[in-house]
Amino acid sequence: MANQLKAEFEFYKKNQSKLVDEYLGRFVVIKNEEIIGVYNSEIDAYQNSQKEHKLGSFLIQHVTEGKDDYSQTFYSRVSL
Amino acid sequence: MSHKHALSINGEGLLNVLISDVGVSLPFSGKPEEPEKLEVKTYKGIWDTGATGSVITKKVADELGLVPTGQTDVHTASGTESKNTYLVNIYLPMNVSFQVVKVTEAVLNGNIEMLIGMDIITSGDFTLTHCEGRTKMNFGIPSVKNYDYVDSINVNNKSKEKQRMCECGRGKKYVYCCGRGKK
Repeated sequence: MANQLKAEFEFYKKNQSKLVDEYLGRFVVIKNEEIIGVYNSEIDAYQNSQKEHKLGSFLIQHVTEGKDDYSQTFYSRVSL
Repeated sequence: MSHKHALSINGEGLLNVLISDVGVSLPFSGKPEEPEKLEVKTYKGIWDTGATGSVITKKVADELGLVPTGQTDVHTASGTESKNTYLVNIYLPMNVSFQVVKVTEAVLNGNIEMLIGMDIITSGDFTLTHCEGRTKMNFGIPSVKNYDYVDSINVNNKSKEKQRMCECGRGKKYVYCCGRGKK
C-alpha cells in the first residue's frame, strides 16, 4: 500500500506544474497514476472517493504551487 | 461573539517539554447519518513549535484503524524521506476540535504518540512564560491579541525615564531640567 501511495505521490510531484495550471487550489485524487477525481475540499475528496475505491488505494493531494503542501519539516523530536 | 477557549499547562518548576492530552479520531464515521459516533482515543501530545505540521505515531494509526490518504516529504536533521499522511479529527482538552487535519506518521520517543505542530498552534494565541521559575503555557482560541514584549518594555522604560530625577541637583525631573528637548 505504501509503495502504491509513493507512486501516486511521485506522479503528483512530477506533474505538479501541469496540475497547477488546471486545478490550482483544488484537491485531486490520484490512483494508478491517474486523476480519478477533483474536489473543492479534502473531506469531499475523502468521502466521495472511498465510496468507490478502497481507502489506501488512492492519494489525495491539495494542488498548490511550491513544495509547502507536500513537505513537513521537523526541527526536533522526529526520527525517520 | 464566538466562544473563546483556553488551555494552560502549569509547571511546578521549569519545564523542558510541554505535554497535554490530545484526542484523535477518524475524520468521518463512514455513516453520514451518524457523524457524532466517532471513537476518540486520547494520547499524550507534545506542543512543538519546531514541527511545521502535526504528527502521529504508527501506534495511533493502528489503534484507530487509520488508512493513509497521502504522502509528504519529511525533512529532519537525519535527512529527507517520504512518509504516509492521514486525515484525522483532533480534540484538545479545551472543548476545541479540529476537523479533517492532515497529520504525518513518524517515530516519537517515550510514551508520546503525537506532536501538536504549527498547523494547530497558529490557530490561536500561544504564550510561554517562566515567571518565578515556573513554566506556564497558555493557548487560547481564537487569537485575540498580539503580545509584543519589545513595545511593552519601551513604554515601561519611557515611563521610568520621565520619572527620573535630574542629577544636577536642582530637584527637578530630568526631562524638565537638563534633559529638556533631548530624546
